[in-house]
Amino acid sequence: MADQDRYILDPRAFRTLIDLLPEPIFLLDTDSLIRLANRPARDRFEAVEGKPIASLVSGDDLPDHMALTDVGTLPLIDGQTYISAVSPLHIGDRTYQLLRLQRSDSVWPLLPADKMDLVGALSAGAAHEVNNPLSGILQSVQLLSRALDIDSPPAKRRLEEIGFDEEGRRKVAAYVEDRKLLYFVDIVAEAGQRTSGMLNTLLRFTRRRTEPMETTDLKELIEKAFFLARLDNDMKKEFDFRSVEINFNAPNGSVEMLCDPQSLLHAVLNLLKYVASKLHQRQCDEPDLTRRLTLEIEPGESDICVSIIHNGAAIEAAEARHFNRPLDWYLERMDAGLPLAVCRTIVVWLHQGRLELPAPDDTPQRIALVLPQAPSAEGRPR
Amino acid sequence: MKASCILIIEDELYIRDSLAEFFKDEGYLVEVAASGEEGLGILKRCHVDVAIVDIRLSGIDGERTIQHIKQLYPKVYILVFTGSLEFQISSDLAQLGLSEGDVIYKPINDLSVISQKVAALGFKPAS
Repeated sequence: MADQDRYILDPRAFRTLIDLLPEPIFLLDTDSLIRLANRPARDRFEAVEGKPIASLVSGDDLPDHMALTDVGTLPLIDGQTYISAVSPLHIGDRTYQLLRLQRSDSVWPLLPADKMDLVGALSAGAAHEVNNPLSGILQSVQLLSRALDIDSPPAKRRLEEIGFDEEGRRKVAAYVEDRKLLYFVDIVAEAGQRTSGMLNTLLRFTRRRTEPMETTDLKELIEKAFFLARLDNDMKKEFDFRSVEINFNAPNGSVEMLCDPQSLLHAVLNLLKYVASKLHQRQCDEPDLTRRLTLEIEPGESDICVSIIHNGAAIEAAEARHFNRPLDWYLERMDAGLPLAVCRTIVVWLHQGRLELPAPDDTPQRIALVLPQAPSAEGRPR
Repeated sequence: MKASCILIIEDELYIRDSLAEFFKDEGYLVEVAASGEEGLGILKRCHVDVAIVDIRLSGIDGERTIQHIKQLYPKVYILVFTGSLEFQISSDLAQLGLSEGDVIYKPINDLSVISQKVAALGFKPAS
């Protein structure tokens, strides 16, 4: 047990402490009896101290995750489904379980803010504003292209209307060709269409979705995540992500799965951001390091494993600890491990998958995201 | 055969003018307006077959403009023009007979798609 997980506290002081926290917290003994409940928990559930936690759970059995140090969803008798985080707590010689609850609909709105940080300064509103001048460019360039295609019926007609005969049209066509006007117009059109494609990807990422689960090509989703990562301001300026050597190993063809593509994209982006920070961290110590990242997709019978292997700095104890307590980032406003905690919340909570972290001495470092091909829709908010 | 008339209500000058030029080039009659109010003024004095209405207009917004047009000129066919991927036909617009097929998203990478849409509705350029 890590030293940080061991507390020696006076029970009254402990009660005072947890009473200050906004979300329901329970201290359970080894028989899963509630020994302490903080004020928000007592307000919500009357006279709970001394009762088994199972008496608060809607349904017959405690979910499996309650037996582990883990995060999951917990439907309670007040009709709400909570995100629950269970962690061991040692007070004196006794071991307890600390159960923290958070309304499942209260954590979710916090995630998009981080998502927008990942995309960078370009907000959805700004992206819409870019659409207007871009429309002007794309529409105008199409008109130019039509006008310069001298042999097209509309151009012929318009040239005839202003007095050009066949000979005149031939000369105009020769001028257009000599100055490579259509070539340059095509360059503008292609650049505009590429910009439009990028913008659409950004807009789709930021848009509000109504159908959370849909069949999605995981390869395409990951390519989008890399695309967005390259646009992200932090990734570009702080971590120089564009100069990372990237290898992509995936089966041929599409890798389809049922998922919430928007949130999964968010999870992969968080992972990329975490890995970029670790690569940058090591390069600060070893300036000649060639930073490498390999992404592998391995479809199994019922799961798909997405691995990110990198030669950056090893995971730190604080990151791993917070990873195991994903709600800490909300309760304690901590920074270390936030991208991992957000990623894990999405993977575990929304997709019933798991996120496997490397050990500190693993070389290279490998993070694996294991996703069921068809997660259940139960227990999710929206 | 007389060409159909298309009214473009769009507050962005470059988008409005390039779209107008395109339809003129295709052989349609074209009217342009920079606001919903101006568009309704044109409808008072001109015969219009199709109105392409930007949804984010200053003054009367696009949705209200469409409601006015359908109330006063029910035969005018409406195409909604929007730069928002989130845009969905509201229940009010659906009640007026508009559907998702009547939405054109900006930017238009291929203008011929929009003229094909107009032609498919039976509105033809000058022959």
